[in-house]
Amino acid sequence: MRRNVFILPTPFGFLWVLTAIALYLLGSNYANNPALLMSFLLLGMFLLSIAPSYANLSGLRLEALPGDTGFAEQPLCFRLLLRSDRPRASLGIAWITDTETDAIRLGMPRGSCQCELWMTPQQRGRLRPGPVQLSSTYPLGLFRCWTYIQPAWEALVYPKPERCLIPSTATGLGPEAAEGTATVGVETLAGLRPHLPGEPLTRVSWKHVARGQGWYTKQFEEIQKASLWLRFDRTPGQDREHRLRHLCWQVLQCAQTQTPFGLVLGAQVFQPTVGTAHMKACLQALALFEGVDSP
Amino acid sequence: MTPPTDRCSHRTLRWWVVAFVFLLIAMRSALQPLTLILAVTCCLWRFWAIQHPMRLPGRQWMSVLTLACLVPATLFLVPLGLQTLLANLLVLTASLKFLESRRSEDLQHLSLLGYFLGGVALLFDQSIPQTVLVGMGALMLSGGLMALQMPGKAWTHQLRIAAQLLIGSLPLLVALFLLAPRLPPLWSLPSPGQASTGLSDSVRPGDIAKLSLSQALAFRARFEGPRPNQQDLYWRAIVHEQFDGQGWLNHPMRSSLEQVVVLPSQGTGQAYEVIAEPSVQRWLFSLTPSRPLSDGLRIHSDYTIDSATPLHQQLAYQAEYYPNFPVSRGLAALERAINLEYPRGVNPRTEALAAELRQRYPTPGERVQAGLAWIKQRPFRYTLQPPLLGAAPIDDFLFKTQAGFCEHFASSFSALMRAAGVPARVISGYQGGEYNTSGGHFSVRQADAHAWSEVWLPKQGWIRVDPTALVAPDRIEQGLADALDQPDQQLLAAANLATPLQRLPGVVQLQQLAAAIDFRWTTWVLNYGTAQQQAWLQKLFGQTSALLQASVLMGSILVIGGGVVVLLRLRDRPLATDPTLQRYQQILRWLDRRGYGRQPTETPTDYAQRVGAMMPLLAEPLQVITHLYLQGRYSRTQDMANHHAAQRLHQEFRRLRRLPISSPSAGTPNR
Repeated sequence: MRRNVFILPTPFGFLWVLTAIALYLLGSNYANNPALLMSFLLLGMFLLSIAPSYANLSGLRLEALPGDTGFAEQPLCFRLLLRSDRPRASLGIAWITDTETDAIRLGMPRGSCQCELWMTPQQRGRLRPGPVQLSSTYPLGLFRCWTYIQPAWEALVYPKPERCLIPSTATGLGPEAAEGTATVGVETLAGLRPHLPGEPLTRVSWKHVARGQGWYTKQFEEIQKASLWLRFDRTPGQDREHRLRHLCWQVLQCAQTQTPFGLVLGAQVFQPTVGTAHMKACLQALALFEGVDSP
Repeated sequence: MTPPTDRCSHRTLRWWVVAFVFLLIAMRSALQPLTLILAVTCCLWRFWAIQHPMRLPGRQWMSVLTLACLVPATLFLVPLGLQTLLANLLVLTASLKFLESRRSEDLQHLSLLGYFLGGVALLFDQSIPQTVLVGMGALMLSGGLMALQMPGKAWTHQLRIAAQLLIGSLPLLVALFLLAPRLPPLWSLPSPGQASTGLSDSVRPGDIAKLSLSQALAFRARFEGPRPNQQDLYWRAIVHEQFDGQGWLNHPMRSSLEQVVVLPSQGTGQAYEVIAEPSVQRWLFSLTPSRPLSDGLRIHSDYTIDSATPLHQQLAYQAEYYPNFPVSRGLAALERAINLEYPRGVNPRTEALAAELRQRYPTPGERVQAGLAWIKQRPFRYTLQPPLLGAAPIDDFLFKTQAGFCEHFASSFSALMRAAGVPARVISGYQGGEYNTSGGHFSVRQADAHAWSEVWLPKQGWIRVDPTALVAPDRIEQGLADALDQPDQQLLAAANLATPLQRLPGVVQLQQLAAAIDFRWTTWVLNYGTAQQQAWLQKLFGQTSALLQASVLMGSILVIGGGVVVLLRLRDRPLATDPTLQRYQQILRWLDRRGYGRQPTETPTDYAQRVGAMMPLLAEPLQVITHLYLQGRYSRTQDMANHHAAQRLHQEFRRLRRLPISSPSAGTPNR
């Protein structure tokens, strides 16, 4: 992919040329050749530093590393992988909107190097941030060389959770309401019993082994927990976004207390269960929900 | 992100401090003690405040401090001259800037100040050591700018890149130096406040003797053709035609004389080049008679050559010398009258002697010879420390003390001749000079200052007569040091402490070499100007014009720029593929086509063993190949070992191809 690389003198570069001109006038006036040599040295360095400036950026390969997920109005990290076959110095990477203040400045050896860019999304949904400006004032700060890249990031931003009341199990009317309150079996740690040789090692309590307290096997029991139904149209809120924010908080609370919950979001239905995967699926649905505001 | 103040850690700041040290040493001749103290104080203060930026003065304090330093400095230093004032103000500004530097931009601006300071330092001294000093300062400043760009790297790395950049700018530097036009002076040169040493308008007893103690360089000269003998090198500088009974002065009416200068046509004499040291005066040095060849030189009716503007810097000029050509064969009446003026009554005994000469010898020529003979018969002594002369100095010298230095002899002889009716005058200048075999040039020092007489004889014009040569011929043939007796030599030795060191054999050679290098530096670099530019453009292209110069300059810059781009591309191209690897892979591909491919997870050795077991014919060749491959692989791509291994692999491959190999039988599956 061919990128356009721009190069222009910096303000310091202009001052540099002015100094060279001043030295030239000084040397010319006093017919002093060493002072003229000084002026020509500065001019020579000025002209010469164009090529290393350009070379510092050319041939640099950037790859977007998979994006994180995060919540709206929370800083979200985007990682970039830089690959180079030679060492580079003083690379500045910044969002195109923030070039003055937020530049990361890094040097990198031959090989690859990761860097992180942070931004705070204001809205939920799929986020493809960018473009990113890659700039450099190497070697002497006389020229600024820059280019724009659009890395193929994609991040999912969940709605900002907003505190609200969680509906009790009694009011949740799901499709299974006719069958009575649904319950979900949840496995919880009940206790320990001494380990018998031959039992699967996946259930050994390694903490105790590490402390030298002996081998114990963890015992789980299934307890039936009442599940909660979270419904978009039953959630209070001024508008769709408000409701989604409340729902998000509810989902997080349920997940934290390990309460099994189900989600009804427009046409999508998530059966009640517990677990991180379920929580993530629900959050994703919340992030991407495009349904119409129901009255 | 590193906060801005972290940039100004001591590792970064020390670049500027080192640069400062170099630049301050370079400015030593102009730097006032107070300025130096202030510069050092600012540096120390800045370092003390690295950990605690709060200790640095704030905005208002900085303004107060700046005013408090710069205003008194300006007031005190104006009388010392514009250049000194500029130099000190720059150092003060740079020190204060260093004190208040907090961000990278401040340090960048400080670098620019530093470069300019280096340029100003070169105004005071253009020699090679000074240029090297300023060059080191510039290198340190560039290193500092590098450090701002890559703060995490070791200083050696930063210095290396800065040096590469500086050296890389040299081709452009040379192109610009050779081809860029020089502007004429835009404002008048100031008086730098140097005291002028050397010859002066008047010659009185003791004047030239004073100069004999100074080894300071007066000028250097190089001859195109064979170099003249030591005794023929009489460098004319000033002509003194007014005698007041005590000493000799420039005659005020000389400038209004309309005497025509007669010289042979250009190209028939011996060309020579002189590089005169700055002297604040106008007079220049030439052999008589000479035609000046450079711009800005004037020849006067008394055949002295001078410069249109006073010499604040070295001046190089060319002239052509016509030995044996008569000077002023026809003498204007006014000139004759001037050179016969003699104040009567001051030196009666001299007048009596002159009257005697006039009576006895009718022709002026004979009178001159008689005068010289009179001196030769008497026990005159050539010495730096003669007894003092009284109110009638010529009488005292000729009849009483009979001891003196060259000005005594010249002055007295000329006075005697004038009294005897022969037009005579005193010339002051230099005689001889030290020949530098490495450089092929003469170095003439203040100690070689000399005064001699000139008398005018009909049909011959002005003839040089040097009474000193009669009394102390060694002075003319060898030089001052060899002509003096013991007490005077001790005096010389005391004045020039370097003399004992100079007795060591190697030191003299080194000094001569250094002088030769300095001479080349002066002629090639310091005196390269518009005239030289035009000269070599003319030689190369047959014509000179501003357009040609500009296009050659642009062309050179483009060529050099292109060269830089090509070099960078070459440096950054991906490493050439390992030749050993290439050959080995070629062999592997060939074997693969025959059914003996290598499994991805097999090591070369295992592979060789497996295939050797499958097909015994391949066992030995493959072993050799594997061995060569491993040998070559562990050396670097550029090594010769790698190339040798690759070559031998190729030979083995050729042998391999000739073997009758059949595909493996169906029984041995090729997984």
